[in-house]
Amino acid sequence: MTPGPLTLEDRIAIDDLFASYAWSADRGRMDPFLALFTHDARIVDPVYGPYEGPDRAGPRRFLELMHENHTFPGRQHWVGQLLLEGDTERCTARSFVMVTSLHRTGATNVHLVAWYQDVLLKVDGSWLISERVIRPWRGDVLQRFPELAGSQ
Amino acid sequence: MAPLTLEDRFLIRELQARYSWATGTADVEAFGELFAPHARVTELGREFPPGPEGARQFLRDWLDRPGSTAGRQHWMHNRVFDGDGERCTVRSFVLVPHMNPVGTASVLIGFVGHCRDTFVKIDGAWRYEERTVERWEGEVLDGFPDVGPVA
Repeated sequence: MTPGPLTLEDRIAIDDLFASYAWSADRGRMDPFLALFTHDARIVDPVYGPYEGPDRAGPRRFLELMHENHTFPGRQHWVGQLLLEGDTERCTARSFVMVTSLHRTGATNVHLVAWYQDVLLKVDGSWLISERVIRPWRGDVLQRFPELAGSQ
Repeated sequence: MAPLTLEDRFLIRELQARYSWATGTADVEAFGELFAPHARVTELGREFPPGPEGARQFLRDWLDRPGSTAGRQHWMHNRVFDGDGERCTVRSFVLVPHMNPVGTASVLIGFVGHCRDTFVKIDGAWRYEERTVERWEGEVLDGFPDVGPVA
């Protein structure tokens, strides 16, 4: 049977998926984080990676690196302006992401502005991340700005 | 009049997301397609001509301002919906982080404000009918006693 268009339930479930990603990553909680990914999921980071492999080895390594990064605790990933394309079984997503950072000194800054390019799959009735590409808000996404021609 | 449905809310939210993506990526053509033929954009008290072409003029004007606008993201959040299945007004917070597009990355907050968007359904599709953007100052703070203008 051909999958139908995304339903409201799908969209709400994907909202929950993205919120759970932020909560689990920013709390450093491995098991809830891994539960958001397909078994063969990959994460592509602008600097490091890609992180991939069987049994969720990619997301596991990704969060392990966050555990090893002493500047990571205190960050929050704000995700929004979500655009979805696909059907009830598979879809692609684009979203803004903004990372705030509360430092141990008490100072706070916006650490990063970026975007996610995702492939999402419904597995046994639940939406999961199959691929997450993390891209900074610079480079190709800004190619229409003439003042940047030749500068990137 | 048909009530505003959950689907309407998601479609309007998606239209706002397309607005954010079009401004952030300088996609002037796609930006105009979000607007009704009679739509009006007002930014900080300045009105632009009606319709998709007026909306594109607004975006071109914004893109041409001194200091690069490249690297900005328009975030709309805390939406309050008021309307029905044909016309709906949404008030939202607006936050615009700005990451310098070249060199070592650092982020400033380019704008903090609010917008009042009215959407109209035309041939089954939601479009912007009116968009007004203001800073988080002035009338919006009228519940506070004795708040002066931001310096």
